[in-house]
Amino acid sequence: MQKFKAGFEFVERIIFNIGSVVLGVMMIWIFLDVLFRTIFNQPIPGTVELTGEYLMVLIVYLGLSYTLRQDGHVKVVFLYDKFSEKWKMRSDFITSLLATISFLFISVLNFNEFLVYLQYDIKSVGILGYPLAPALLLISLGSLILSIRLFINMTVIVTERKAPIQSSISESETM
Amino acid sequence: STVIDEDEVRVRFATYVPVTSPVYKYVAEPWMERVVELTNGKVEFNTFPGEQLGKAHDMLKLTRDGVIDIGLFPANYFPEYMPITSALTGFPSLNTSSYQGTMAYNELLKSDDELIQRDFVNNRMVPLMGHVSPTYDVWAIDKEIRVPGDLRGIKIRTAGGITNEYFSHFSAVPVTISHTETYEALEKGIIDAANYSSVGVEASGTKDLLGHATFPHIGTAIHSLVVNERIWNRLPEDVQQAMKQAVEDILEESGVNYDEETIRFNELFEKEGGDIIELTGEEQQQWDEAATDFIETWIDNNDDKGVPYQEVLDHYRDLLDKVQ
Amino acid sequence: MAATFIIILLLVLLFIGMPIGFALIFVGSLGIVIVGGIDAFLGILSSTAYRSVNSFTLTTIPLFILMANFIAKSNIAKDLYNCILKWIGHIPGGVGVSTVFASAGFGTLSGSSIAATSIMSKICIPEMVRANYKPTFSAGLVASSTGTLAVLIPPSVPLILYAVQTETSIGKLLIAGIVPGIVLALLLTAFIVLSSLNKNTVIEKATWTERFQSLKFIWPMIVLVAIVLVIIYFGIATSTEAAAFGALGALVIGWLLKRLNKSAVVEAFKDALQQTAMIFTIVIGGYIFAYFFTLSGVGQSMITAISESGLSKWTILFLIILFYLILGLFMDLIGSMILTLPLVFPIILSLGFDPVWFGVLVVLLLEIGLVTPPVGINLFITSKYSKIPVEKVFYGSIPFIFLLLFLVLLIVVFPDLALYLPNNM
Ligand code: NA
Ligand code: NA
Repeated sequence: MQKFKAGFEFVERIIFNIGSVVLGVMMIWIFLDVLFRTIFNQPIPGTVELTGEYLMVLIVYLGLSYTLRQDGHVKVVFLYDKFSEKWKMRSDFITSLLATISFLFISVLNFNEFLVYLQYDIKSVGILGYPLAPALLLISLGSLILSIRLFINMTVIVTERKAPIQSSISESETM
Repeated sequence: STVIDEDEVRVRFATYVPVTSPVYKYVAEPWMERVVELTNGKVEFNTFPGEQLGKAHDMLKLTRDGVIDIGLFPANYFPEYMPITSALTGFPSLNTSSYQGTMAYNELLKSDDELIQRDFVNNRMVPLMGHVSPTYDVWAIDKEIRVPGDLRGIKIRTAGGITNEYFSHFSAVPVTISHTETYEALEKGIIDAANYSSVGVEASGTKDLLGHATFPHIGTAIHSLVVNERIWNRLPEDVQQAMKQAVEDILEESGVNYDEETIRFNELFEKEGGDIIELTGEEQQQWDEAATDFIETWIDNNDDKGVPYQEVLDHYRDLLDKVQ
Repeated sequence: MAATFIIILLLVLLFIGMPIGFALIFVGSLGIVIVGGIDAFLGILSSTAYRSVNSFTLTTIPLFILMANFIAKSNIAKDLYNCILKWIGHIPGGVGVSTVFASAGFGTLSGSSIAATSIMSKICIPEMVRANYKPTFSAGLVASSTGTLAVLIPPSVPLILYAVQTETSIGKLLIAGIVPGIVLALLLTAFIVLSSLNKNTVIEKATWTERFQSLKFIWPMIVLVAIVLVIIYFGIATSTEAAAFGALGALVIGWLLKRLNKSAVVEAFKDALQQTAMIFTIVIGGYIFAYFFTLSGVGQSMITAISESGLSKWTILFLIILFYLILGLFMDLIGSMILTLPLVFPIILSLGFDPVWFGVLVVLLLEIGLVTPPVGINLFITSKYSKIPVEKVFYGSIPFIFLLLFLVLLIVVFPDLALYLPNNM
């Protein structure tokens, strides 16, 4: 289990780092698009479509799991903070379980959508006309990784008898 | 939720446009009212306008999968699922008015098996009607576009799809900008023109930014009113009949009303200093030749899909001629 | 019945510490199964995940967050505050007013209430306490007004989300927040000066040399603001695209001034990614929950009830304002907005209110909710960074909450405060 956890966290971090790189790419891409449009009257074809159809998907879904690990998902803690350690564990376990179910559904359903998009060869509305199916696969993957993260958090509660997330307002909220 | 009994029918109707839009006013609302009338109130609609149950690009899926029972959405958003209708939507120089297009398309819908099979049956949907909008044309800030050659280098907002290919074909730069951002993009000169119908210009609030309108009739929007197949089969026969009859009853007016609104807006546009370009016979001929050329190229390029585009197109053209 | 159960379940899960986005996704999905059936659940869950992030307009959220991160890590906000202190810190109320000005200045670069509050809590509260302001007062000021200024003055994450969701012009909405933001700064200034008149809350007067020297540290800030403004107002880019310029500009300036090293840049990207993931989880959950609410028919019967109630449009507006204040007690800003707009926005339109004006009003109302217990993220953040207990931060916020309510009243009575600029640009 420890080995699996370490391996998973390696993958989780890499996926998160890819998301960060995509954010940088998006910043420079939009900048260049405006630059080319202003100077050469020739925007980069497909910028508007590609940023929404792919870059945003990568940025949001590749960041999901690591954000949870850093306790970056906003929650209401005024009551939770007054819980005893035991009740914190219980409520963490329950909420993680419910979230795991939700994200497994999202993962499976979007994988199914991926297959449908492949079957119908659904393409971007823009001029480049690239296929959209991989975007659905990315959503499926991001949600799956998050589900595994939630599952690991649950096993930590059971095996190590402690809540996996300690701080109530994480540093990540400082943006 | 959905109830279907012999003496009570309650179904979910959803569309992506808000209740204030012409499609809602001229198609959705009169049709539903007529159905209620014809069935003496046996049918009740739970209406979900304005993307309340999902985004525009999911409308077909939501209807097919039974999230909603009856949907009203533009075929051009779904070129892969509705290949024929979305091609008819994007082809230039077909109908000249909403009335003409709507009457012809609904004849096609009754008689063209390829269209029914590929666009509807394959998606487990039963078509009730298709509403063909007035044509989408070229609305430019300050460039007078008189012939297709004038499109070269023009950055033009489109809704995507085949229309993009049309503009690229003539070396214009099609840009897919959201409805919300079109105003700002025109104001800042990020785009030079928009491919809108007159009513679309009105709805986007961009009238004061636009100077010249050219009407070569580049494509339309075809809104399909469809019922989920499983729901349709469960409906009592008299309700099915009423739904079809209601379409017959509102069809003509849905086109005429739209055309009147178009004329009214165009007059307002001119009154406020806008310029609607009168094409000379020679210029019009250039657009027609360009359209023929484009459609030919397009059908050649898409020949491998096994869709009989040419046959349906010829059929549609015949029907359009009859309406005139 | 089902709706009541689902809403109670949502509250329970929120209160036992389930992340807001997750809770909305789970409870919304469950609700859809109950009121719409399995088909509806499968159909909605398989399309919402993609559709709620797939939009060019939304790129502005991660990019403006990224810009704020670069600025925070370059210490530009701290320089700005110190500079203002040198100029007006010795006047009665000057230190407090400096906090307001610095918050407004930082607000021109940050579109996030939480970001602005956390940075200014760290920078301003210690200085105010050092100048003999009560910790309660200092913390209350920052908790209640810094974030509000950040979301009223463009850029603004909540106003952008409002624009996307209601299909209102982004450009107009952003400009609409400017005057209310300035009015708020003036109200705060007047209040702080009046309440400081008989108190010894000033710092030592800086010399003119010190003052002018401090100016040279704030030019990066001014350059950045200028870049974004020039780009938007001279029509080089749309307000969406301007975020990319702002972020890149902040990166380049921070790098050239040697304020940002490699690890700070990496951190800025990572923090931005986490923030984005957090916001969009709520956005996705908000959509799913809203679809449930729509399907349940509760929303529609509420709208029908309101429109058939025969109440005047002003009574209905008053009820809506009250509704948002109550909602703000329990919910965070973005979640509440996404959850309620599909229901409330059509009512507002049908009553003939201006959508741009209402956007400013909603954001302001929900911003008040960020400092009210039991759920008030800015309250918690201010408390965490200033080490002042939550209840004291809230206590200190009360007078400022009244100022915010007064601003709400002003905007309702004089809609032109929000509408003059967008209608005349
Ligand atoms: Na701001
Ligand atoms: Na609150």
